[in-house]
Amino acid sequence: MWSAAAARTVTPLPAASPLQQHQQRRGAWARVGNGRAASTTAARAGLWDFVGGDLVKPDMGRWLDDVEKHKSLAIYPPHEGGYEGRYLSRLSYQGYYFLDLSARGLGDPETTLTKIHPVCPPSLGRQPVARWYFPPEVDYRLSLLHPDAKGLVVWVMEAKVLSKAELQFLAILPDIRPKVRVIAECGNWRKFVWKPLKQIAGLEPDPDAEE
Amino acid sequence: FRDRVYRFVMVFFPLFLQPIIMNWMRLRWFKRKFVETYLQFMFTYLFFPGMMLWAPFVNFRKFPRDPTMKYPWSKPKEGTPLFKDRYPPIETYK
Repeated sequence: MWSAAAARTVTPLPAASPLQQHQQRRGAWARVGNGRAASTTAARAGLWDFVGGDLVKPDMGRWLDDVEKHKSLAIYPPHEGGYEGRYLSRLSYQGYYFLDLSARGLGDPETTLTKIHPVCPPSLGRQPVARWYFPPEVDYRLSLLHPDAKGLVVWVMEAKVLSKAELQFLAILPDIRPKVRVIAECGNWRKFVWKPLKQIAGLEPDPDAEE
Repeated sequence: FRDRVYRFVMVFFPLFLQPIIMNWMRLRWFKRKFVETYLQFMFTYLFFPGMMLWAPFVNFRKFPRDPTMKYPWSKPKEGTPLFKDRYPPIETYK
């Protein structure tokens, strides 16, 4: 029985819809007794969806061109991470410097990045409630850049938690500060893809929009 | 003649058998039982150089919850389940 189960052949294409996938799985398990092969419906995923990995896609030139052209990008790295590091390294070789921010706890992006903003540290026990004022995150780092630096990349992690208005501000931030580029990690995908952040935030028409 | 056959086996087995083995592991990873796990480990050990050859060119990550989504910014269809099960459905155990 186990050798029959091991020898069963299934086509590599996944099911076209979750319902069919569910039925197919139940059917496959119901047919454990007899040695017949489970049939699979033809699906959308082709062989090209399984080509990928580390060495297949030399797209660094397109990445650098898109960063220069669009100035604010939404990226979708794989879930386990690691791929954004090679794209970050390429920007570092170009002469960019980085401001890494987490979107959680960012507060108001406009105030935090471009204005003097208050921060209230937690009061531990018998302490007066303090209120500290910090310089603007982007403008302070821009003032510290040396003159030959190419620019400042604001790398926003976990940007999937931001609302559309906050993403819109991040998309227009390079228009306010010309030496700033914005990279926002807006989600995850099974390969590394990116898109102009203005199209994600709704400031430009999206050519890939469906229906 | 025997040397020629052995040379053929040495060259072509890692190149052509390894995608079949990796796809078998992709399909059965959360469904396999003891004997099948044993066989998968056995083939991994035997064809490990081919696995290292093929690994940088293969992408076996999971598909999204709605398999018809073309982009990460697409909207899933209406009846898509909220979480994707990794294991076989639970009602088959009842």
